[in-house]
Amino acid sequence: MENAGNESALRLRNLGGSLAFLLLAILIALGMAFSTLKYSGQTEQSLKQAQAQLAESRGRLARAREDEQEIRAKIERYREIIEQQRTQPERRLDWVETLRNIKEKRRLLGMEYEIAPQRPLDAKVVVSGGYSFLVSPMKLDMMLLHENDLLGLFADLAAQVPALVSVRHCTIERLPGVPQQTQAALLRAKCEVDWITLQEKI
Amino acid sequence: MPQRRVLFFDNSRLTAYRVHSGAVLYEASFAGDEAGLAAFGSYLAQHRRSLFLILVDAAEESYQTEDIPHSTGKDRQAIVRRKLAQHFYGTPYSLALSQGRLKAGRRDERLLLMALTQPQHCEPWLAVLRSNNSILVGIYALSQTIFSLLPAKSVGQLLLLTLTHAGLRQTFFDGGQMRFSRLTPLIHDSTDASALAAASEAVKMHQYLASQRLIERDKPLTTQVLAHPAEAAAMRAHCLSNTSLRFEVLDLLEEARRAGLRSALVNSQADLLFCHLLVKNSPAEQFAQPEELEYYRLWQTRFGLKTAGAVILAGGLLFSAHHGFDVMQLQDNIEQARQQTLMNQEQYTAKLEALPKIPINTDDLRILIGRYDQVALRAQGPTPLLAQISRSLDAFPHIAIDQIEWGIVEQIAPATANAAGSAAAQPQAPIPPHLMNGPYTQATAVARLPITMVGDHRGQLSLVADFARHLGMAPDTQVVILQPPVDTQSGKTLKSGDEKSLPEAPKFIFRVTRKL
Repeated sequence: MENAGNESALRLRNLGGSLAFLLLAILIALGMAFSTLKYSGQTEQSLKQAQAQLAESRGRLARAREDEQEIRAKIERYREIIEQQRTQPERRLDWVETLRNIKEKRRLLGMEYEIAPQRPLDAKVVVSGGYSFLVSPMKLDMMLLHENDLLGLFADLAAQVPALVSVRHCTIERLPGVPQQTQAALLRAKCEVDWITLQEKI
Repeated sequence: MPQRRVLFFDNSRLTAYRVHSGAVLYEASFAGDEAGLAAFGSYLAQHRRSLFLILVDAAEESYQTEDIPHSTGKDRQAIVRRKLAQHFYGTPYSLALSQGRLKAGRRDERLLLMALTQPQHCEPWLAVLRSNNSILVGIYALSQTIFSLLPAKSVGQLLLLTLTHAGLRQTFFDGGQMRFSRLTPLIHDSTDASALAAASEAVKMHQYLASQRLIERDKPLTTQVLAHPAEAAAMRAHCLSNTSLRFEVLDLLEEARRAGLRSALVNSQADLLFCHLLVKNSPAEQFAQPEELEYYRLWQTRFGLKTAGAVILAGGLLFSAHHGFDVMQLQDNIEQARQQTLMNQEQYTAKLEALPKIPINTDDLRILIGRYDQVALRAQGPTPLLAQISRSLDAFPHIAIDQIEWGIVEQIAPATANAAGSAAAQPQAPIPPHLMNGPYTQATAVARLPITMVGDHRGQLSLVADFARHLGMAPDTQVVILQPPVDTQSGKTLKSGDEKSLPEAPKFIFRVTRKL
């Protein structure tokens, strides 16, 4: 029994180094294969990204002429906006005076308005392209001889104030009664008008 | 690769050769006395990692032919063991070579049983091998290596005479199979003595084979003598063909060259050639007992493990190298793609650089102008649509508007009941494709017909229809009569006018929608 045990120990000693070598070789080979596959996968991923970027840049370059025209047109629009002073802070006093001047000039029979506090035009998209679109809603109640008085008011406003005047809703109704010889209102208009300005966000 | 060493053993001495790449190098020779065995032990100690093959060239051999029933596996092993024990009682060094199956009768299997009949001659040398833990590959008889010298397709009967320092060996082949072999020690190793011995031993061998009925007496037996060219003349002078023997002298050097031996042979003693043949074509069968080969089995296992490890490592390296090469190509492609992308971006940027300068970048510019255009589109006010209605009213001066409600809508709403509770007068017309997407400017108007048309229902409907048609002629415009002056649908109540009360001008409601 002791001899058999010694022989087994001898065998194990004899084979220990070879077994260790085999195990080490397997571990090294697996490690190399795993590392290579992993690195290969990462490289393939990088290649896909690089190819996608290349395709995008090629497409962009191919569209460069169209883009150039489009951007040139947009730059013109941007300059118009700046020149029209849409990006200036709202000046309510100017607006009030402009309304009064138009009323006097057009000899409007009656005009009542109420300008609400300023707020973002769209609560969901506060900033668009670095600018906030702000709105000051105004309720307008007018007595008119003719509907052209109303349309003229809107045209004058659009021409005279830097803010973008956007009429949202209007109701015009004929007032009851027979037309008289004196100047009396025939129509009544109730409108909702937005004064829109742009504010740069820094 | 391990070093292989052949221990050439005859009954008097043991000679050690190192065999490497076709060269056989003499290393040492040991006598069978105590000093020789001790020197052999020292020699083995110097070459612990070598593989040793014992090549026995002794006269004490025995060859027997036996036919056994065809069997396989353990049955065959048992039969073979029994046959060897019957024929070679007293020696552990025996083996059986299968020589195929007979073509007649039961088609028994023919075995050539071989044995080294004097084991005591080998024992001292094996004891030294064991004590030094030397790796013994096997014990072989020299006759086993001679088979390699036969022509590839040897079918007839042949007697082959070979010389070693132990003596003259005569080996008989029949149909390409060895049937018998024996060694005749030579007292003198001169060329003439060897040639004389060859001639005389061939005659004796012929008589023996004939007595054993292995050959026909009256048929000459081809007898080949393997001799060095320098000694070929002497061989031919003494070995003369007759009615029984037909001598041929084979060129030893040519045979050695053919076998791939790179060491020089100086005479007809072909010890080096047989050592080379033993290493080159080691026979599958050998004489050593399994316990004698224990270290060889261990070496084989170790070698297998190391080889497997090396193969796995090499495979891993090859795999990594292959993929590494692919990765390098991929990286080249990536670099090229990046360079190209960079060039494209530079070209694109150069084009944009030529544009007028503004304080915001192009992306922000696109967003800002896009949003502004959306807002501006909805800021056109009621003027255009009211002007359009006004033009139609000019064309139909009998129609007057009492009320108009204008607004901007994102979708065209279905025609619904009006404030008075009347249902829509017209079935909802489908929205044309070009009007599917908003925004829209929309006006809903309450209109009045002349009072003179009271009672002229057909005229009222006709006038309203003409008015709607006129109004809808403008592009991207849809006109819907929400409430006609007279509701003629079957599901509605239709009443006559009250002649006693004051007549009232007929009214209708229409909605006009125009895409912005």
